[in-house]
Amino acid sequence: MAERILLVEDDARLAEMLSEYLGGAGFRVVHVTLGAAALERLAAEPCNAVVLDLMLPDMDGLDVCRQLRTKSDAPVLMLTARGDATDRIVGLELGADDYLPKPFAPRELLARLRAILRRRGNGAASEAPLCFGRLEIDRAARTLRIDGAERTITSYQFALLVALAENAGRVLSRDTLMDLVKGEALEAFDRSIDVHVSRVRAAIEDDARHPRRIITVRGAGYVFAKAQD
Amino acid sequence: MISHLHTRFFLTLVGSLAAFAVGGIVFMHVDDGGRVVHVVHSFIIFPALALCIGIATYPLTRRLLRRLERLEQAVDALGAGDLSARVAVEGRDEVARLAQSFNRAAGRIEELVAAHKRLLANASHELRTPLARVRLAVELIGESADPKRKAGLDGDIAELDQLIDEILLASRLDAVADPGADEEVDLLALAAEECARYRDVRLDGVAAVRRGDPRLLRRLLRNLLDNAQRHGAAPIEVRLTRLPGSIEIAVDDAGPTLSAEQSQRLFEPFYRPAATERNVGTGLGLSLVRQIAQRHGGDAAYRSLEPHGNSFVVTLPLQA
Ligand SMILES: Nc1ncnc2c1ncn2[C@@H]1O[C@H](COP(=O)(O)OP(=O)(O)O)[C@@H](O)[C@H]1O
Ligand SMILES: [Mg+2]
Repeated sequence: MAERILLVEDDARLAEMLSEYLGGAGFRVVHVTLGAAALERLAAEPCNAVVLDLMLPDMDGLDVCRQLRTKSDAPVLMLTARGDATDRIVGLELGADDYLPKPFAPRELLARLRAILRRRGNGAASEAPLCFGRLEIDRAARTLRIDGAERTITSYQFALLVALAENAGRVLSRDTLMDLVKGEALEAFDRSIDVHVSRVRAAIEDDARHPRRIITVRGAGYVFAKAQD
Repeated sequence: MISHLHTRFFLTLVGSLAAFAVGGIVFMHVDDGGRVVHVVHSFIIFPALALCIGIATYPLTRRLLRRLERLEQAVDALGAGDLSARVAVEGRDEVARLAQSFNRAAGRIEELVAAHKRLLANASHELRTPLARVRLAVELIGESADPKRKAGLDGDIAELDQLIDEILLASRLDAVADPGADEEVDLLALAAEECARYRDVRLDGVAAVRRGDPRLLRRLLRNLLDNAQRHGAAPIEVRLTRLPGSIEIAVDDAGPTLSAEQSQRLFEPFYRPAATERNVGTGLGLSLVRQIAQRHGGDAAYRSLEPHGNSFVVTLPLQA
């Protein structure tokens, strides 16, 4: 059965397009324009996830989120504008599960929506999937997806990717990286870390010759990019 | 209007003189011949008078100074960006009125800044919603569309988004202190990530981690790289150099060296030499670079390279 998404967005044309896009990806979208209507709707019929615009004409999206949390435990993805105080949005204070600044890349929206749905599916106690643009790393299920399509790498390489991704935005030396994946059984001893990195790259980079996700820093190591598309 | 403060000073002074007079009478006595004898010698009179006045006015001045200090602290706090700074209004004198005026002014500033922030937040959202629509529309066109044209459209959207960001950021940074994020930022990693957005940008540098606003520091690097790409010429090189107590981030390119007249004005907002006009841009890029550097306790400068080329250098202090 298709998963139901409650879309709360006051811009009618954006909402229409989003409904079409998400519909095309197999979701059933229910659209409301106002925060109050969203709360009513949610009380009337449950949904699997909420996509919520931060700025609504009748209420602040943050208030809607807070009230919504008291009524339902459907995961919430907030649509914000860049520069909003995003650290307050996600996390304990307001309870949104994730956010995405406008103008978002539609595929990133899909990736994040799937990620928050999957996280609920995995059980709330499990680790949240890591999302970097269209790339999704599900640590609980040990799967890797780009644009929703699964890519396969070895479990050692997966551990390497997780170590890099969990330290996104920091240069990791080869030694540090080896330490981080020490517990993993290395299936091929003769391969250096660089070979494994290039395998991971082949799986996740759009153009492995010009990597944008795992970047080599000459004389220092590797860095996993924080801002990816 | 009679000054409250003046009245109080006057009364205190009269009081102390009266105290001195009473003291004087006590220390006088009449001798055998009926003449009044001054026991107190004249050289004690003036210091004693001064002491009396000093003691009598001490509580008054101390209280006054305390209140002025509190007012000063509030003014400083406001200046440092704490817009909620107010002082307690005590009494009904000039200092109290000054405190009232200060509170009114601070309230007004707080209101204006809040309105400014609201406006920016709204503008940001209002401008980006249609942009999100365009982006979705491009995606909805589907596979049938020419991929090259689609990529071109995506590039245009990104450019527009960048311009909006720059303009909004410029007006946000101009507004009274907005503390922004404060996180540990790995500058070498950030530089590597930004360099990877382009082909053939060399990065050469040392590890450097400091606290700062990652979004702003990314913008700083991106603006410099973007400029080198659009206004300069290959090869482009980014260098991170450790200096005592600071880190220097230089973005070099091999374009024709800028004239002295140009290089002096580069960091002014909206300054764009005539030759640049056909390129897209707001002329805000470098002024933002400088503002961001200064916000992090550093600065940005221009250096010409030999035999030709331009270098934009940002120096950021590294905390102990
Ligand atoms: N690397 C560079 N090489 C040559 N000229 C530059 C370079 N960087 C900046 N400039 C000049 O400085 C001007 C101001 O730059 P900037 O403030 O970033 O505005 P913009 O890039 O929007 O024009 C540019 O228009 C350009 O003429
Ligand atoms: Mg520029």
